[in-house]
Amino acid sequence: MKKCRSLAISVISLLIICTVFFVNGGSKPGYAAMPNLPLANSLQTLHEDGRVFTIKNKKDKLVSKMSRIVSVGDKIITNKGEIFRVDKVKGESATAVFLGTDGSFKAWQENLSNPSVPVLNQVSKKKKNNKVGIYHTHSEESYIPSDGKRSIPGNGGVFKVGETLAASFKKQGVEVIHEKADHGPRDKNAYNRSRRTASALLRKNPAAIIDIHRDGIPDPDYYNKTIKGKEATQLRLVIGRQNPNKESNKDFARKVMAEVNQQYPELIKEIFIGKGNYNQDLSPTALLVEAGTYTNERERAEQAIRFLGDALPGVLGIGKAGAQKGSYGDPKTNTPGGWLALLTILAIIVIGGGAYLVITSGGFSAAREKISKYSSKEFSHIFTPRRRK
Amino acid sequence: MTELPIGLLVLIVVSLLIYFGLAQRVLDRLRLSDRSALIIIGALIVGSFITIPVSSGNYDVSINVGGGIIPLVLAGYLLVKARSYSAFYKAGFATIVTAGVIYGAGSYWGAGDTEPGGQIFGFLDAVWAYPLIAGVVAYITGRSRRAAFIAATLGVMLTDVGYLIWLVTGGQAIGTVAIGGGGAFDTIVLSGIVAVLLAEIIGEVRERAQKIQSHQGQEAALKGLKKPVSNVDEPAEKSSRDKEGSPE
Repeated sequence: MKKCRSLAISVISLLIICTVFFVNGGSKPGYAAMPNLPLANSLQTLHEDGRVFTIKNKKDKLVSKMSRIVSVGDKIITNKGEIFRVDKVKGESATAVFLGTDGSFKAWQENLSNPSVPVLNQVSKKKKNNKVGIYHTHSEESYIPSDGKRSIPGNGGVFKVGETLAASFKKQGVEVIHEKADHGPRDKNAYNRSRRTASALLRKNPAAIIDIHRDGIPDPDYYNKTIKGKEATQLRLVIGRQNPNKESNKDFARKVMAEVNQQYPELIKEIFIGKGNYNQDLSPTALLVEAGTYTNERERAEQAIRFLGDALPGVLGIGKAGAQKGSYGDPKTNTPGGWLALLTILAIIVIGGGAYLVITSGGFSAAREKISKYSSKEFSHIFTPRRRK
Repeated sequence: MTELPIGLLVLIVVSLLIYFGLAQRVLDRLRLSDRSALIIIGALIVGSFITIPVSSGNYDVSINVGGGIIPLVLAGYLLVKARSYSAFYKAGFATIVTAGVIYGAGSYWGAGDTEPGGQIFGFLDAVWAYPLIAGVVAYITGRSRRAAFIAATLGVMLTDVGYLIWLVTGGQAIGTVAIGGGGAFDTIVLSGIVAVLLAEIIGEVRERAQKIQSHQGQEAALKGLKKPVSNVDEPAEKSSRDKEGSPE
């Protein structure tokens, strides 16, 4: 076994030496990247822009379109509160069924439009976590009309959109942590790389973290919109459904859409709930925002995000807005999605753990016996009187 | 997150308790003592807040103590403590295969797909796909929980090293490599936990299936046994009792 140990130590040492070697190579000032090796070229497979997935309802009316693979079971909540569920996908065309009106979204809307509901009562003047984190998983995403390219590695146009959002938040008295870490290339491992950035932001205790993207459909008019007399793009909120926090993220997105659209009508086009996780398991107030598409002028996307930065502190109950009643700064605010997410997690644990117990015990009766033996052994002392010494 | 609606605070607290409870269970299955398990979990939590910068410049490289160093040390310890050469090599092989499959699935297969496409990640997000790949690969190669943990943690870590190599060999002029930067919630730790649980479930199901199979086989073999033929004439009373069937 001595040989085994020395081999393990040498493997780990080699790993560390390799890392340090490559790292030091990269840290030299004025370092020029090594010439492209076949390895680098062959492994560069990006998500491509330009492919459009169209979702229509049963009457052949357009529900949405996006440069994002659509799967059966994905859902859309439109800014009118209608819920659609994708039930058929053929190539790049999908059909969605209308499920009805989203009750929670309508309730948020009604609360905002009803002056008798005391939404403006302040709970406390100041909030401890008066911060918002901004980052960009697809750090190279850019806008052709303004940036000249659809993709700029390490310094995409979305960084400027993020800066605009940060400036808008600061105007509202909100502290901003804008992380411009590069997570390129735009491959399928990008969210794993940005998970580290999102976690680092969360360790600074922000009220929410926002991942800013842009879409990849070629039609700019699909997003172009004049809002309050200013040329802007519309925004899409994306929620990952492979995420145990999904219901709480959805709840938050609904409230954001209701409140932001009340101030800036139709700014948020829809909430798309699709496959993926998007690191939203890390926080119930994690948002993924798509600001226009790559063929829009970046300035329009910046205008849209400025509006968002103006309205979002009110939802979170931070900054000048303060922790108002009904905002996420008020501990009493009802968040049914949070409880639903909790129930989902507990159900997974109970069902998963139960199934495991039945398998390992060899049947239901054996499992029951195991539980009763365990509980009588572990908890027996709780109910018995303590012996006096 | 100190000021949030009660529902969300409860959600966060319960999620944390479940996550670290599962981590404790996993460490127990890796045959670590309760005290060692508690120390490791404590180190994971505290270490999550400590990041060691390795390099800044074109390539911003760092390693987090909770998400990178603790799992690396633990995996190294398990490797060193391998009971045989075969277990050691199998764990090493599973690590390399896991890293290869993860890197390939994320960066090579499904070229040109729109988000979230790909052969594996189009179906399941990377956060869940990584540990599943590691758990399955480790179980196929080593059929061991320890191998599953080693393959998952070191496999994901090797993927980061692969990414750094890709960057430096001309993939991109600048980049960030934050090994284990997610701390206790990094895919390195998450993969280790889920991979061991997966190996445990697969192992238990397989053992149970084998037990049932062998039990059925034993019953069939017992049924197939012929009564020994005796040339000696038995007393009439005993032969009639045999016909009725003996409880043995």
